[in-house]
Amino acid sequence: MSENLESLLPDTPPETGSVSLSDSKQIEESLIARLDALPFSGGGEQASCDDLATEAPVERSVEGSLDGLNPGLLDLARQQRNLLLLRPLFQLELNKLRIGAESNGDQGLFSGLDTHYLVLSVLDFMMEGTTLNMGCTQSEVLGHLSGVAQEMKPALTVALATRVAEVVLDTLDNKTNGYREFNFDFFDAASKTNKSVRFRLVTYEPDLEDVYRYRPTSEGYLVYLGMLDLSPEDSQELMEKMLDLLVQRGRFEAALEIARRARKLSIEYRQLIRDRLLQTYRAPGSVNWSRDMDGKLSTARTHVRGRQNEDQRMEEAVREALLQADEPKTRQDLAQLLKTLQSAGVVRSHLVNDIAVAPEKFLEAQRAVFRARRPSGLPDLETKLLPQILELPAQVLTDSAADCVSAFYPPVWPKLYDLNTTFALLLERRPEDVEPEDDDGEIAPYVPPADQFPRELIAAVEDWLKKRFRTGASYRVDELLALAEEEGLDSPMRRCMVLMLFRSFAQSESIFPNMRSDASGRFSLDIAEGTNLVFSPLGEQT
Amino acid sequence: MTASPSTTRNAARLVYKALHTNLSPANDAQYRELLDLYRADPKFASEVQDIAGGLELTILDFSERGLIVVPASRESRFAVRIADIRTNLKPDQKAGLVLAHVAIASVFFPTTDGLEDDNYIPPPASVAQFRDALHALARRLKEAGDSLQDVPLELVPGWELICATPSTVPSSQRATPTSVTGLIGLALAHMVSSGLARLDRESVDDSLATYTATHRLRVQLRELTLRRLFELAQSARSMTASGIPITSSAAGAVI
Repeated sequence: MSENLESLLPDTPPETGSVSLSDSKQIEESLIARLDALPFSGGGEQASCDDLATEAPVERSVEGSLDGLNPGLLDLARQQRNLLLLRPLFQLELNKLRIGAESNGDQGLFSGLDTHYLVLSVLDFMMEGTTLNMGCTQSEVLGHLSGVAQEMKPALTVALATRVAEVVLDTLDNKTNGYREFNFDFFDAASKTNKSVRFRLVTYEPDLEDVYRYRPTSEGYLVYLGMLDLSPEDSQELMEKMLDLLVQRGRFEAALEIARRARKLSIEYRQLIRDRLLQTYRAPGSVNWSRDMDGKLSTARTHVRGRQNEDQRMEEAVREALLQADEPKTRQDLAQLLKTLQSAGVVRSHLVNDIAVAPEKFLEAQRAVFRARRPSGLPDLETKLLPQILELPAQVLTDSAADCVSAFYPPVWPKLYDLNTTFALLLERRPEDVEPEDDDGEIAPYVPPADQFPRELIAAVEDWLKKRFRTGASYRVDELLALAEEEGLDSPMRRCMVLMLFRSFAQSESIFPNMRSDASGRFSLDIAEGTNLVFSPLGEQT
Repeated sequence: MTASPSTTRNAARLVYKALHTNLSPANDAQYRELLDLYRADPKFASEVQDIAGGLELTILDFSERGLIVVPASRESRFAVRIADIRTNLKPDQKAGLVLAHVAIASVFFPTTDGLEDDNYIPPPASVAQFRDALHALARRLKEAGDSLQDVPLELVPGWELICATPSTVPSSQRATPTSVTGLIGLALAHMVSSGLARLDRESVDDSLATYTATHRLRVQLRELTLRRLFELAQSARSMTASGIPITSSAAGAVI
């Protein structure tokens, strides 16, 4: 088609601004002729016949594509989800100038600071951390961020830079929402409903040595990599590139880190062997020697052999370099490296011992498999019941929580506080709890409590009393109650009567404005007891 | 030492001693005598059971370590309530607390064989191990399951709830129910105070402290808790299989 369109143009393009009328007419006629010759205009060329033959499908496909151009709503869920990953960053940037208060001396804290740079920088820092350890500790992250902030804004003091770092880290960690996942809504075109997406940008989890470290989640990687136009599948390649970069940044640093990693690997092998043996003891029969232990022990042996030779060579080289080095920094680095290598050697010798005794310990732990036992009919807690319980919906777990928890515990004495324990409890000082901010929640409609007496009963009692008082006589409360009982008024009615009469003691509140009441002794009946009131018509003196 | 007579008073006394979870017959001569009487005299044993029943208690086990009683039902005045552990828990935190308890029990007694075998001594475990057991399993189930990013938290399975809860809250000073470590810590602290677990090795750093299970936990799990958890899992599963939507009342009614 493009070739045909090009062929419509005259062979010699006219000069700009110098086309004569006859030339333009000529061009026009030539264009019309060539247009007629094109297939879709029904021209007579052979090629056009073939095209005509496909005209119907072409038309159908065109119609189809025309329909396809308006199929409903485009499904952009993936793009929307990825865009929502950036919302915390945008929110921080948009609100940064509101952070800080004059009273704290940090008003305008973020003025002049690019929070996007800070966030991406800290993600990069955490990613670096994951290549060698399992992330970065909180102090490392805050240190990095405050350093970057001071680079960006030299006027920041150390305290203010730390504050900046804390704010940025808290944003990534979603501290304002109790460190829960970010949760944003988006319109899902496929289902035409609003859905929500939950994600974390970073996690704060313990490593193998139970040291808590920050590292990016896969969404955090996506935020970083998305800005690099790299897909998540390339993240592994990115990490490898970062490792290369680290090595390039300083040979001694890299060697030191590699030595630390090797030492960590020895520790990991030791831990693995210990864990397997512990599992064998805890659940005999659950660990298979050839599947779970043998291979790992072989790998550990290979690791030990390999590192032994390598570390011996490195130690000799480092000692030699140490003898020759004059610069204090270099000597310090080399000394550190030597110390790490020696420590790795110690760990490795322990690993050798663990490998040697593993078979014997395994056999000992497996002895329990051959013990006679009575059938209980209940599944194992670790392998069967806990996974099943974890599969239950959260709502079921919530509603069964009271039952389950009470099944765990022995009886407790019902709590009864005396003054001493109450004071002790009230005076107990607890450290500040990190309370997450709550949602406002929904406003539930107020349901007023039900009346104690039905309206009909109240009206009936009031009528009865008014009838009595119309006679003009004076009545005491106990007399009225006795009369009511004689006339068959039931207990709720008499109770209502008592309340009505005592309410009417104060003239301003009285339901019987033509009666006055005065206190006169006490009464005690089964329905009520208390001060006896005398009701007498107004104007009469008792 | 005079033998205790088989009287109603002594029967009630034995139940009274059993209610003190920290009391041990090894340190209490009267408790020992009464246990011997319980073992030797069926009439006395029956009287003790009647008194326990009258107090809404059930006798699970007796041995030289003592009489183990539990509340007969959730409504018993002696039953532990969630508010006794921590007040004002949100629904997802209550669910997390249940899972924390089950995870602690599974680390101590991973198999029923271990529960049955009195010679099996659970190795000491730390808060980190309980937390990792729960977290790792939840992660494995999450990886094997479908993505539930779009599903509200009330409707997701327990493993998604655990994965959505932060592992720990940075710079928190006490066990907070907003993190997995906090929920484990809450459950463990209460179990220790109730005599179900014991601090094995104390440490200034809480993360290094280790805990062991007591005989009471073994008996409680074996005779009561496991069964109840099993029934809960089975009833939920059978409802799913028959296409009945699992609601709280339906699952709870079976228990």
